[in-house]
Amino acid sequence: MTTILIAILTLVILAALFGLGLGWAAIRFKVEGNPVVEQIDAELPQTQCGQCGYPGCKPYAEAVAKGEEVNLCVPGGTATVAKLADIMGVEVKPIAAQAADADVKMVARIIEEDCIGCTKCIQACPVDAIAGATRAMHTVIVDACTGCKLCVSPCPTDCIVMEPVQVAWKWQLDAIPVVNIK
Amino acid sequence: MLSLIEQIKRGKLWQYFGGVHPQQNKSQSTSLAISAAPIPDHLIIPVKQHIGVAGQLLVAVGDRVLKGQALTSSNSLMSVPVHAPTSGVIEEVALFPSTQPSAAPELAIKLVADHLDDAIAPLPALDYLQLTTAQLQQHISAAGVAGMGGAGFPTAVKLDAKQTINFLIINAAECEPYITSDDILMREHAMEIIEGIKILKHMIKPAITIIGIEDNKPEAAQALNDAINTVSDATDIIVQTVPTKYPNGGEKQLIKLLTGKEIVKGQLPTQSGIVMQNVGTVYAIQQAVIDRQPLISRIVTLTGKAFPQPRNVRALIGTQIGDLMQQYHSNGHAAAIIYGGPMMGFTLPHGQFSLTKTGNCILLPEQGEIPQLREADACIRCGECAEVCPVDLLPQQLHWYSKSGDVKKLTEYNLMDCIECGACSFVCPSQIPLVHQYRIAKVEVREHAAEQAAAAVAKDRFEKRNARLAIEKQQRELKQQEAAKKRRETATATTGIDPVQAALERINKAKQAEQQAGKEPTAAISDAIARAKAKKVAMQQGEPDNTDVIAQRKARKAAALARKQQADADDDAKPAASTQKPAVAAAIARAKAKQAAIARAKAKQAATVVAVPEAKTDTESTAIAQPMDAKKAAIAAAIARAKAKQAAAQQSTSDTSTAESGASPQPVDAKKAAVAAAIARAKAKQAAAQQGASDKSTAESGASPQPVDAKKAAIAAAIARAKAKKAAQASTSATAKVNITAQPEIVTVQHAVAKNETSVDDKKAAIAAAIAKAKAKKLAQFGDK
Repeated sequence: MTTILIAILTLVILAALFGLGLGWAAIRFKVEGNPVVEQIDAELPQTQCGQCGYPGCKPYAEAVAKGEEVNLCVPGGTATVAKLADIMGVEVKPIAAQAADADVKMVARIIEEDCIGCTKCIQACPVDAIAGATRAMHTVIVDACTGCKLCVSPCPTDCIVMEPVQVAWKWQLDAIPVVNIK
Repeated sequence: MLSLIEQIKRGKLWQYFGGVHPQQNKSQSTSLAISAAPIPDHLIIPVKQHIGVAGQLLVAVGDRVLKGQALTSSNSLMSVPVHAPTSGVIEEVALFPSTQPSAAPELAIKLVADHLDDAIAPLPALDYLQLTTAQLQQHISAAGVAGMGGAGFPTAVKLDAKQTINFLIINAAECEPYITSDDILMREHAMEIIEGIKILKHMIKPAITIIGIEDNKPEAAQALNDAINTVSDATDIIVQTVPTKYPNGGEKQLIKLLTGKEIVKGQLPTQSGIVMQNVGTVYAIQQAVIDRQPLISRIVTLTGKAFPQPRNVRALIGTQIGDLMQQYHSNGHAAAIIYGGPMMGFTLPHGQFSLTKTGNCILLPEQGEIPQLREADACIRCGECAEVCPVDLLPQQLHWYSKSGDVKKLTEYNLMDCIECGACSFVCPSQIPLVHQYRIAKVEVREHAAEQAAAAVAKDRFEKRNARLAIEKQQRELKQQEAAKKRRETATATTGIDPVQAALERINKAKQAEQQAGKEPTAAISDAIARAKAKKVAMQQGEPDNTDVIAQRKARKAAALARKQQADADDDAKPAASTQKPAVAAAIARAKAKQAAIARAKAKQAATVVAVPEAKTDTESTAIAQPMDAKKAAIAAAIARAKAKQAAAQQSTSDTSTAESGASPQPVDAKKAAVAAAIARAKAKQAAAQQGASDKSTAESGASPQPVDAKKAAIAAAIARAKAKKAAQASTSATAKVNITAQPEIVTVQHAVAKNETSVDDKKAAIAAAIAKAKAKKLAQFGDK
């Protein structure tokens, strides 16, 4: 009888200790926010273009985490869709929107002689990549431009054009004769 | 246990993993002494021949330059100047194909040699022992010395005295097959090299100096040892002979071999207290400091079976490879032009490339001399590549991941640590061009990293922008609240009535009226809203904000609509609850009447401060409700006209209740306003005319009757309207005593304004009108465009 009591007592004490430990850990190591959102956000291209229908990459990441389609990110292309599908454990789908030019990285350029300094594009730019002031010529900070095209339509004089980024030289496969292996 | 330095002094060597033993092929080119290559007819000198920043051009096209004259200047140690290798005239400064695998165009100076070889005045040798490290760094940098081993890192940067350097290692391994330029240099210029080492020792004060040389160069090693014994104060320099293995000459490999130290990934050797200089660079340093010669030539090995006599020549920097091939009679059977050695060099498509400071070898192999690329077979997973990789990578894994472009895995498998030595490709039984694949993959990894960085920046900027917008919005709201508070205070001070109180009163009255009438459903709704608002206002008594004004406006809007239906509202008359109008409207009208009465009684000036703006708001909302642009424009014009009239009225103080404004012969300000109004009207009319709704485009003003599309005109009108409103508000807040008959009916707007009894600052109105005019004009012009 004593033996069984000792056993029960021991187990009760152990259970209490573990309970305390777990309780403490739950408070001490509490994860703030949804880590999946961060994971998704890290895979998004951060162009903040809004082509997915959400006002920026983070909101879309939040929506995806809540079950939104994974194939809405146009600038990310198929690669991003695959990554998001992988994170969310869903089927890879073809990208929703027409993304013919998604592969080429573009930046905006302001045709400066046509700029009237209305600041409309500055307000539209999600990453503050346009410098300028009222009635002063504006210009795009190329390094900061994500190529989201949000500045193109607000321009009253249509002076913003999207241009492909000059890519650095790559080792070309045909520079030195290389053959495909079977 | 001996200290590390003791062990090194006793000749201990360490081993690094991997490495290969390709056929040396060095003896062909060492039979002849160095000869100076003839000065070619023209030289193309790339402005940037090293890692770092290009210098500033000092010469222009047409300038005659002397041998040794600096062509570019540098303002930091990371930027190294280039010098004229011979005398001649600058013919062109343009983009020429760079001596790189890419052949990407690069700024270069084309110098036409005059074959006089006039040099600048010789400078006296520097007494380096009397100079500080910083001064010597400047001298070395100014002489254009950059690493001659391959990468071309600016030499002076490495020689900083700030870091404690324990080991100075002179890289004389020259492990790549065929190349003998360092070998021959050591044989012939051992004394200069030892002198150069002494300069380095003076600069960085290492605990020990080791020359690492492969055992396939016994003559060079002997020459160095002889020189050490000849030159004073050089006996502590150790010549360490290492067994020949490729790639002994790799920086990290040689460090491991000579000191047993491994450089931590991502660190520079200087962080471990090690400085390594190529033997060619040491010679260049000696030339710069003692002989005061800038780096204008270098020893280059011309080898391969296509050269009848392989040899080493001293060629000027900027010499065309094709010129060298011609001068040394290449037989034209070369299978390729390889710049560099067979392991790490690259193939040039033709000879029109410049020799740079890093070019140690031109290899012209004949067919079959070096293993030809045949069609690569599939990887058989033999693992040979992993056995020979001197950086302990897994080339086979990297091969798979390069093929699939898996950037994550490539990073995980440390692709970026690959030194591209080519050992893996050399041993591959399937002849897979592994290094080539890695080079391509490295670009992908770099691009991916750049993309990630850009995304992080974009994210950061986006978040910061959002935060900024939030703050701005908050500040705006705060400002509005303060303004509302101020308005209320001003109103209370000028009229003696707290508008909030007045509103509450009105609402209460409305409630009572509603209770009396009690059957109108719309009234009940507005009553409910009013009650809610009143409650809110009551709660916020301490800190009034816009809500009270909004409540008033809403109530009044409802009233206005109701009155509009009624069409015959007599404001001074007491509206009876028995009529068909909503009780609320009546109540409000009553409240206003009462208010007006009180105000009038109090002083001669009775007003509700918000009367005019409210009227405007109501007018606007009515206008918006209209589907037709023409009507909108008409309303806008009407308001503009009304404003003009107001100005006119104030000037004359006469009762111009119905007069056409534009015609009134008032002083300048009033006239201006009138003109502005006329222009606005004209625009509106134009719009109307275009729509076909009205054909009365009389355009009596100065505005030219161009065809402006209706939308533009509407915008112009809207702006004019906004301006007019602003002007009205300005005048109201100044003194405005508006009779409460200013009810929010379009027709009565004119009336109300005309009835203005008190003088409003007409200048303000005129300015506002002028602005409106300007805006309208601008937009009209813009529309034309």
